Amino acid sequence: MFSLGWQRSARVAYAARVLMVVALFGSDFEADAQTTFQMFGHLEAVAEQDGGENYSGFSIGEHDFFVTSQLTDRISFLSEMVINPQSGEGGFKTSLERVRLAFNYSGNHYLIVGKMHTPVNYWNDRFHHGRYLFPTIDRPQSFSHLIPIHTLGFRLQGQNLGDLRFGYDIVVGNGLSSNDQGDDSWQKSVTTACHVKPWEGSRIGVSYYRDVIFDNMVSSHGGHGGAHRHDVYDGDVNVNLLSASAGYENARWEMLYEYSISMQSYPDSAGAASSSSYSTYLYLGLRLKNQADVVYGLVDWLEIPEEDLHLMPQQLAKFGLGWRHEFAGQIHTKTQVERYTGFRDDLMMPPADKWELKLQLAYVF
Amino acid sequence: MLAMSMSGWSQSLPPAAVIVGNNIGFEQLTEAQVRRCLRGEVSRWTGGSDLSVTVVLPSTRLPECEATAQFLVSSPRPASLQKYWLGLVFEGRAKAPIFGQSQQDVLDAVLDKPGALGIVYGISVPEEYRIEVVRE
Repeated sequence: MFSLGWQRSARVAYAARVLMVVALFGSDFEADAQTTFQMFGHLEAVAEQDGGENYSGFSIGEHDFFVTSQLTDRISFLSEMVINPQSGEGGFKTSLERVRLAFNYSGNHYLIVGKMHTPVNYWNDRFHHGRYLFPTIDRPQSFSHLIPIHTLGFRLQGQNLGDLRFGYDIVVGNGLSSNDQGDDSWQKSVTTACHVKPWEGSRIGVSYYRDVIFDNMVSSHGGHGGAHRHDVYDGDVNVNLLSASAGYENARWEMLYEYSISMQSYPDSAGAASSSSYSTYLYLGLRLKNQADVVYGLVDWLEIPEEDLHLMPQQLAKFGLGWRHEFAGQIHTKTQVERYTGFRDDLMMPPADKWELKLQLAYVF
Repeated sequence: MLAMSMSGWSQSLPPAAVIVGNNIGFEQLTEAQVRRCLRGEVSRWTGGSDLSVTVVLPSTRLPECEATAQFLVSSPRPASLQKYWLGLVFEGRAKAPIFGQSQQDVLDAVLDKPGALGIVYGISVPEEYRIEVVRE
């Protein structure tokens, strides 16, 4: 027998079908629905010197249950449920990171509804919770500060159009102040993005995102962490984010460049100046001749000015060197040395002074 | 021919490969068109049957997968082909392909699924399912 998805055994595929039938309580289940299940996960170990203090530890990373199903010839389903360890008293948190239905109305054009990643840059559109697919151990720092990670709404998408493989995405959805239960406002976030793939393994794109953050409060669609300044300003924040990405991969080289500038204004302030924060990220990898090992370097830079009333003013620079070994199966090891520092001490957050050695096992099955 | 532009970055179809299709609406495809379809770049058989494209590939455990990986992702590593497809599906930009555990499984999957396109090696293929490939 042949298997579905990533060479799952026929028995698992059969069990999945039975589960689907049970879930549908005997409704008209299409016997040949093409359904796949994957689990992405990772484990980590870290040794750290932060200022004068030393730390070390082991951790369970995000575990991501990823499901796709072809419901009809034109309609498909995709979901991503993540179980995440919590800090503090511990325990785990479960979240639905993506739930979307896509309607393929013509050719390579789609209408998508549900919760999705905002396609503002290459990383957020491609990797998000799939550590196995990450080229490095961590996301760029901009994900904790500038990048609007999710949107719940609808999306028009086109891809691989013409010789340049032109693609577009137009997304209208709940804004950064909303949550997954709804949005109490007419105001919606808007994302427009386009990209081309002029060479095999390449993708070059730009995007524009706009939103209004009510009362300077972000909710579940904002960055995963990062500090905000609700204490100094509790009015609305107009956000205009411009991003550009360039990715390239061939048998020898891997490259990814991300740039974002977030221009914010504060209409409810007593004349506070608008501010511009930016982040830039560069990854370069060299695949060795054995094809299974990649050595790489990264530079990750974030700058949030003092006049920013939404994000915590800081300048953060991260430099890293790493080695990724890809086993023949679906498991990678990554080893990374990182230096966190800052070159400005005139901002609210003092410059970082940290070294880290990290090991990660990332897998999917 | 397919209504959309179908130029592909050049890679030659392995000489032993046979392309099989089920009700795709085309009896002949160019090498570049086959490549674009099997790389998940085409969602529907526009200009043909208008069915959605289902890709069927040999399992990465089969020795023929090396030639398929070279053709589709310019790498002799089957793991690269699997990672390529995993990324595409995770991104939500393509329907998951079917991987056959044997050449017969690949052929059976194509014969079972209207709109399917697959690549097989060293196996007898019913003439009505064979897609003529214009090699470039």
